[in-house]
Amino acid sequence: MSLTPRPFWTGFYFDGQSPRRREVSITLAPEGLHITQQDGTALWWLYGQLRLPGSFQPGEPVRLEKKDTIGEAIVVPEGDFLGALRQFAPAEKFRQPAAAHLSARLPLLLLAAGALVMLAAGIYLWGIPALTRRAAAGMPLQWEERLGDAALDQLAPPEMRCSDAEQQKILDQIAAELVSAAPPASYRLQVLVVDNAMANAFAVPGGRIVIFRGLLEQTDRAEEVAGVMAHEIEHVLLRHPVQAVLRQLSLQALAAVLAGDSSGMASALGAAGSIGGMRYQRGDEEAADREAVHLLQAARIDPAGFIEILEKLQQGPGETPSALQYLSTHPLTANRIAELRRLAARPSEASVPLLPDVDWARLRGACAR
Amino acid sequence: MPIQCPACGAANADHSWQCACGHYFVTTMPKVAAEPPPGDQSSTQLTSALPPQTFRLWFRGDRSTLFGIYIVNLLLTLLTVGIYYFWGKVKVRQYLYGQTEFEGDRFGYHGTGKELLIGWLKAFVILGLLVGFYFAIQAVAPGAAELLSNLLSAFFYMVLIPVAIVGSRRYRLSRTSWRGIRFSFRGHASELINIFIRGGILTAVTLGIHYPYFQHYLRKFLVNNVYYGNQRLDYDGKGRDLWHIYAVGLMLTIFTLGIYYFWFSASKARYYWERTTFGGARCRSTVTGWNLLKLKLGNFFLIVFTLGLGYPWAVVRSSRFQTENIVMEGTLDLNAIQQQAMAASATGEGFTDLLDVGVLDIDLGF
Repeated sequence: MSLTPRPFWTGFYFDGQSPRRREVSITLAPEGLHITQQDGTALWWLYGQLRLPGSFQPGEPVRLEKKDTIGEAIVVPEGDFLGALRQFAPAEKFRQPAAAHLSARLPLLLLAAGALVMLAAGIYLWGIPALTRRAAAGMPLQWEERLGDAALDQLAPPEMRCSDAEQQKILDQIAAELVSAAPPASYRLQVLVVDNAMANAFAVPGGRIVIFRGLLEQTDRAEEVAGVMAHEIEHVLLRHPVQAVLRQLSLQALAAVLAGDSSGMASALGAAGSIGGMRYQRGDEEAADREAVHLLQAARIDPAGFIEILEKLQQGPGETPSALQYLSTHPLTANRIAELRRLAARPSEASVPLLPDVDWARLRGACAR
Repeated sequence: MPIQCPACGAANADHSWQCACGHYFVTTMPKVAAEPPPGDQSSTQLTSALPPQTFRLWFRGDRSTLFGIYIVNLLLTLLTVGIYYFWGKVKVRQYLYGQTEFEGDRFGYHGTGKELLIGWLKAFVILGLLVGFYFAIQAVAPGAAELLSNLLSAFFYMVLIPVAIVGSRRYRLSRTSWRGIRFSFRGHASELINIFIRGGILTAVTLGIHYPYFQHYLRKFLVNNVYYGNQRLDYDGKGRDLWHIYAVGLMLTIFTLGIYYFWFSASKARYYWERTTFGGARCRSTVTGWNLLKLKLGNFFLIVFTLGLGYPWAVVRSSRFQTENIVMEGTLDLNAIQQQAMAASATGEGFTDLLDVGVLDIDLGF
């Protein structure tokens, strides 16, 4: 940086009245700048009256605007006018950081990028789970049910539901046995069967449990359905479905923030996020399993039924490829079954056969629509 | 040359935008407000004496600088729980406008983060009241809520979106300058609501046949109300021509399984631009379907395969593409144009942020 900055510059003056470009010579002085037009008329601008709109990169034309006017400005197209201006003007003026080239800002940028990644990861790993747990706990049941209604309309529309009266009665009976053994909760539990060959089951916010016909057809006794139901009931009681929905929403919001003001980006990211659909967190499945075994034992239902159906679904792909569906949303590891066996082996009250008089072979396939 | 106000007859000597009686001179605005030389009534434009010229736009920005701006914005937006978003938006616009050059001078953006924040908050409160009103009705009378939700969605499409479009155009153009002269948008939301309601109903009644005409009126409204200083842009397209473009475009798009869509968009853009004049100069677009396809596809991959990090690069590509493909030819006496800045609030801009209205990116017609 030279000790004696260049005081004489040429540029253009715009009067804010018309777009006419007037060539001027500019002289920098300690208090302000002198602007002389070619016809000899002169202007005197104090530094305090001036403003730099935005930042300029080296080599770019510099525009200096006069405050409180609409468009009166000078433009100096070449040279380090900004550098000279900063040396002439009082120290605190025109100090805005210039948006220099990437190379000059690289360390700062890398730091910012690193901080950004850590912040985003922190929000993703801890911020969102903590927030959704808290929000789910405080959410009124009515909202949760409304959320569940919306999900049900999408996932299990009324025209897709099975309506075999006897089947429904038996399933309700099993659900009632399980609920009476569970700690009292305000959920209104309801079981629906959907006419779909996939072997799957899930719970929506608000306490509704959906079982697919394909899963029901794989069961050989009531205990197996009771096991699946107990697992889903525990998801509901632990508020996993509503947490998953909230997590999904906040991830989309995070994606929208990250994408800035581009609506296209936000929706692209949103779509990418929803391809996986609603997912429980890793620990959610284990928690639901653990509590499901407790619940079955409390209801004096043999937890072996739950293990049986899981094993059947695991070996199942040979006969029904769709059996894998349940496992893709409820990942079945060797660990999981071993853990279930360990839990089931703990001493408990002797189990009582569940609904021994029901013709299960007929019931499981019934699906009047 | 004072003009008479058609509403109250008062002379409008200073060519202001609004008469004392409240009438707006939107369509009666003279092309050039400067007085013609006395005795020569035939040349109402001062431009005829100038030789025809070609005017071009240039985009000088580079992706690394824009990337830096985006990264810093992102970080500050997250750190401030979103508040910085509005200031970041200003930074990006200042950069993009400041890198766009016409006749050797760059454009300026004069919006501020504070304005944008206030505009967003206002829009948020208005939308919040609407939604709150709806939920209140639903709690009290669920039957009425059904009807109300239909009314509200009609209100949303027919009123809120036009208000958002006009508001954001007014704001954005009023904060844009070139050589110190501000742009402005002088259309009214009521006019656009009219166009939307009429266009919507006629399109539905004619099973879509009217749609190109609807687009024609929309374009006309959006272009004819744009001013640079006191000089208006003019769109002289015809609904019939546009209908032809749409008919061919729709058919070939179906036959080519959608690929023709880019050629359709390009021919629409070319038509829009070649029907746009500014003073004595006519615009022209050199965009082709193939180039548009390369741009859009390239941008898509740039964004997707970089997990969004390539977004600034895509913005720079688009800006360059848009400026490279617009030419203005003819006689244009820029020096005769006068400053005529208009006030505008950022509330419409806030609406567009909240509603995520896609139609707002019609500025350049791509």
